[in-house]
Amino acid sequence: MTKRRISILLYKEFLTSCCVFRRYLLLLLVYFSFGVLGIVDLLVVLLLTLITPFMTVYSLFYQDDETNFLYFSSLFPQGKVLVPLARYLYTCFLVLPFALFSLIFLLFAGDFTPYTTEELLYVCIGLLCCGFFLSAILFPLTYFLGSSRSKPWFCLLILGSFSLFILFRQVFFLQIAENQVTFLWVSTLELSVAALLLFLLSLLLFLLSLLLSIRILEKKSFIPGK
Amino acid sequence: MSIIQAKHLRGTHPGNPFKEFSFTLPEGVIMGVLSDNPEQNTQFISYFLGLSSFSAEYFSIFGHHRPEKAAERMGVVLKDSGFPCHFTPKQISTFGGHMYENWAAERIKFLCHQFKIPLKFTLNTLNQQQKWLVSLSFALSHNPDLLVVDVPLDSFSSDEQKEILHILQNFVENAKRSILITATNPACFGNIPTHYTLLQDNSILVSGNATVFLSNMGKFTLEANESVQIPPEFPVHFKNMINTTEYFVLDRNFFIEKFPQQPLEPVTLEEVFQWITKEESND
Repeated sequence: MTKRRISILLYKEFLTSCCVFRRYLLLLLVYFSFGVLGIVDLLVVLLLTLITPFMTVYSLFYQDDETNFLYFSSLFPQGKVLVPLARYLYTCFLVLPFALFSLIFLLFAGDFTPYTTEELLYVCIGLLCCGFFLSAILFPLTYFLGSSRSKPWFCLLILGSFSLFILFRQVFFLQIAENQVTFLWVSTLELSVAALLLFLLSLLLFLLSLLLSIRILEKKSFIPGK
Repeated sequence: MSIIQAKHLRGTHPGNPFKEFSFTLPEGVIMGVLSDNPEQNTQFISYFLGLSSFSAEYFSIFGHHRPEKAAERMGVVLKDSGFPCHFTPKQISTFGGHMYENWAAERIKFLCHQFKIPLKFTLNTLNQQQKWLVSLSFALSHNPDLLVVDVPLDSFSSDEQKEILHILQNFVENAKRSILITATNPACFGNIPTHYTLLQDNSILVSGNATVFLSNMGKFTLEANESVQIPPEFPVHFKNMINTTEYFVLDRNFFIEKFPQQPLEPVTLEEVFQWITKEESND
């Protein structure tokens, strides 16, 4: 029965996110065209592609708040556990096609970009780690505060990650490109191993964040009129 | 047997306005929860639905000590339908089929048909009353043993009200089932509840079989020149009118013991409700 419940909650997530999908996919097409034409840097296009699934899932919190789904879903059998579990699972499922799409794009990107496919692959992994890491912070925060009250935190974290991305691009990425990596933790490890470890670490954080979200929802009181 | 039993229940979430209370919901009854404030009603029922955290000396719902464990046996209709606005009743039925073990897809179809709600229309094309009727159909379709209804019944047309009350009456024909239904006006209930819980200032004023507690209440009227010395802690409410003062007695036996010379008149539920919503209290 739990599997059936999870599957229908995932279906609900899919149906709800369909509304924002169209808008995001259209925007991505525009960015990809700009990337191919050389108007926008390909790294920016990659960033926007890989951040889209996370943004889509985050927008579900707003839609839930509009209909008070969270309040309502707590009444379902196992609702307080399965609803956040479905959201975290959906995030992982949604990331897969976008990552695959980026990977296919990277294979054909060589002609349009000064970066090698391997370099872009590392950027992809870095962006995915960043997405999982940000979601690991934002999701429990949104369950705790509600979507509208967590919005300043969302903006702060997105701005912060954009700044980090620029810093990463300016310092770290260029150093990788020139084989001049001087960061201690990378210099002692193979870059591929470091990327894999970072990815696993972000997934672990995401899992811990799920447990935290469930705990928050179990403890949460829904006060009428608020 | 009782479906809900709560002794000295107290909300533990910050800003909780509700005072400590004890409450029992027997099997096979329709319990009307009445107060002038809909939020007070929602707050009251939210403890039994697991929506508000609480501590209690003893709490049991269908034999479970946590409301979440009894979710399968409860059907709930709240002011917010909860489903995404682009869902159709058909999709809601699919949702219920995966969510509940005892789901009856035919029942939701039948009820939606009875309420004249098209199955393929999305919720955002329906009006608020139709959304509540979809929620009611959803709540009844997983064969619950307790139905909790917290929607403003007076916003429905009289035909819809009659239809809803008829469905609720049929629901408790099975003596093991009960209904907890809220309202801010006793007239909405028709005469279907046998039991009532009256809420005042975030506490239970009285709860139980209406015939029993009304027979234990009474009222008397005094002219301006008459007076009765009533101690402040005495369970009496009063209302000043132009030349008279009307007193409302919560405990008839206690009152007669103290004031045997003062005759008491019987009261109706509507009068009690008017008292608790409009009166000036002497305490």
